[in-house]
Amino acid sequence: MTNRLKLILASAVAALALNSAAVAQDLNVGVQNMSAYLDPGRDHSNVGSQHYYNAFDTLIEKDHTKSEPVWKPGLATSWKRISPTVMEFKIRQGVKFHNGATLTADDIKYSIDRIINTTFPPYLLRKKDFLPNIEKVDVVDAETIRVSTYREEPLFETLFNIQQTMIVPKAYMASLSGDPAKDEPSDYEAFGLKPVGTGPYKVTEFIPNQRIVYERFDDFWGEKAPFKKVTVRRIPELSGRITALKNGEVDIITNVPPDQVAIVSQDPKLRAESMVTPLFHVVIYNTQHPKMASKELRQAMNYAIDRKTLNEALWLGKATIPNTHTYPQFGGLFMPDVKTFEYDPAKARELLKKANYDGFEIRFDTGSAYYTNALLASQALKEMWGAVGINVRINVDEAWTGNKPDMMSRNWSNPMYFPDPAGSFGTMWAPEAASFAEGRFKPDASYAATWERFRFSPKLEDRRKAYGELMDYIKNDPPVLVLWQPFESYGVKKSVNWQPLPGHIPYVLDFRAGKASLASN
Amino acid sequence: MLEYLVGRFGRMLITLWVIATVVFLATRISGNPIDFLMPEGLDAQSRAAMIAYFGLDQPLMTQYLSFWKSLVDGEFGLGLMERRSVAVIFGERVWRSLSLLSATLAVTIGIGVPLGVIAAVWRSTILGNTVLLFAFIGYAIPNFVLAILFLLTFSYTLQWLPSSGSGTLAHYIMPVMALSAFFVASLVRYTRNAMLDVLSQDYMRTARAKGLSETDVILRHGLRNALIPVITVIGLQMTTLVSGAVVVETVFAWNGIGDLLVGATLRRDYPVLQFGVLIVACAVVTINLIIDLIYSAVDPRVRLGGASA
Repeated sequence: MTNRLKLILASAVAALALNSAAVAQDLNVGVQNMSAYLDPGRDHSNVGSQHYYNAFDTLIEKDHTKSEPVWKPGLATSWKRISPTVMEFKIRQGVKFHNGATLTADDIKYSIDRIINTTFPPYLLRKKDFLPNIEKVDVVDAETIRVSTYREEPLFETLFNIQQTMIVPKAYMASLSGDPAKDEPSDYEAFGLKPVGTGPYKVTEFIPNQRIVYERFDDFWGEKAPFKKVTVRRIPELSGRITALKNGEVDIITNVPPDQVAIVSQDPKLRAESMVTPLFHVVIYNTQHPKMASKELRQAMNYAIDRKTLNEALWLGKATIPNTHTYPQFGGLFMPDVKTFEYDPAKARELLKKANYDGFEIRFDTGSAYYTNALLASQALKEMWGAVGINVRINVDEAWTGNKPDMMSRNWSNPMYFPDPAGSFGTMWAPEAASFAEGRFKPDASYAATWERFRFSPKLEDRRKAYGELMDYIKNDPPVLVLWQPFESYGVKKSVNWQPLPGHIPYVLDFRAGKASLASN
Repeated sequence: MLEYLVGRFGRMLITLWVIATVVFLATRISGNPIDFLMPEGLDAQSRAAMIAYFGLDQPLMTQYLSFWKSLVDGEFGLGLMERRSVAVIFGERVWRSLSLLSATLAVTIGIGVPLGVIAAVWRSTILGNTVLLFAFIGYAIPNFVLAILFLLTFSYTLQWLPSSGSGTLAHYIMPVMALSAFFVASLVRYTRNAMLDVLSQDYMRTARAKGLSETDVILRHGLRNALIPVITVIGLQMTTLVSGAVVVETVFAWNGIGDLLVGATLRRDYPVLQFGVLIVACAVVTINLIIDLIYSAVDPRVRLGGASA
């Protein structure tokens, strides 16, 4: 072989290797559902939560490898409380947005203001859920902002780590439609289609309900992203997702139910990554329905359910059965020893007598496929209720019946929106939260007072005590039965290092440095 | 002919107006999109704000008029779910669906008609019966079962073909096979029956007696006469094809308008749903017109307009 030929061959091999290295920097993901818009401030859906963390940053970061909150500097390099109601943040300098603009204190003020001072209905909802206590944001100088709250805020760090307070560029947003200098609702709509943040990936293509393409953002302020390009696309059918994974079209798939995990893990090229998700599947009762008014009846319904057996049967024993409405992610407020939900069929029968239950039919509404295992679980619940003498009829309805006044009982989920009972139990069961808004939960004044103590006491011990009292209230006059934290699985190629992390809210696909990479060959 | 076309066009417009109005009313009777777009935890005040935001607080007549106005201005309104112009939403997807349907139609006719002729001419032979057997199988298996069987075989096991998406020619193979199987099968059966009728006619004997070759007899005298009922069937099946595409698009994550319409129906996304039904209706009405025109080309006895009977 001549030297020249060798040279040509060698360079061809090198070119091939380079080429495959370039390809190998790409990641393809198949998801069950894709968002219709991407605006972290407006969204609180389980579908949206998948996507934001790759492209946006919060003022305060978190160690997502740990369940309990461990705060780290984010777009703020430091923060301190200068009075019980004022927190001062020092802003990281030299941070770039994906459009090339430099992050300023004004951008941060704007990101919060657009939600707390809004007339745009979708933002109003998030203000109500997450930021009702934030009064204003003041720019002190180019490096400093101060956030004031109406009342002393024990959750300051948490609130500046949530998706809804991720930072967006003010000038870019205003320029998107109408008057380029003015902030208008049509700008928010346009932003949802062309989102820009400061995160390690920029969104280079977004087709609502179809796909997102992220590319590495080379000017990211932190450690650079491990992948040059990440494509997340919707593959709605489970069989389609599993096939695409096996066929090498995608590297990661979401929403693999427990009974399909073996199919994935039997393939020598694949593995399943599973995690107990910080989300509860629950049963709820309409306490305001005349027939459901008896608290003894609802107590009996709670005592009738053997959740351990259901876990064995439906989740292969891998779901988590909590004693009360609590998650390990709550840190100091994780209270696994409080017993709010217990199985005691004898007690259930006794309570039914007390309630003078005459065997009338109780309708239980469920969707057929919305929650994993929902229909199977509903049928098992019906049997367990039947075993103590409660007559339940399962009603599968196409439309959402949770907010209809004739609802008697139904299934629901209580996700953890941020790692504090206020961000899970609170979003659903605070005195004026979702359940009250839908008219099926009207707690008394004592509950509201306990809630206030829980939410705003500066001392952790006081908050713990108050939360225990709230759980006693729930046990005594139950509007809800927490079933389990579902066991959710992903299918992953062995050549990819990735797993869901316990420090995130449910369903986040985190492809940042240190969280995802290609296994070295 | 011109008179006929103008009349037909006028009737087409009336049909479309009726369909659009029925869809407009039916969607509004079937539920409020707020319950489907934002199901959880809305108090009365937020609910009212969101209803106003989506423009659903307007009187029905105002909504109806702005629906027609949106058709005229070419934007077709703003999708409730995606909050962008319905024209853009459909623009992204319509060619994908049309290409899938065209490929399916081409395969259906290209395979179905010749096989039908073969099944008729070689009836009661192994060849004819084999064709018929496959036709029965194709007719009996629902397209979504077939789609999943194909996925299992060609993607999951053999790993020859991409399982989802719509980027390359290879992406077309399985969806087109799954979608066309039923239509090929029914076309084979219709063509076979029509051919059998024709083959026993006197003029076939005459054609042979004239000394024409057997190929000429079968194709020019036989098939041409047999085609009229077959064309009717193809026309009717085009509409079934659209509904079949909805299922197949979902299985193969095709991101076409079938998939879009299913989502819009579940969420009561009025603007998307109204426009989607309208264009499907347009397609069906146009296909019917084309079928009528083809009749007259195939059978000179059919005179459109009836003036020169």
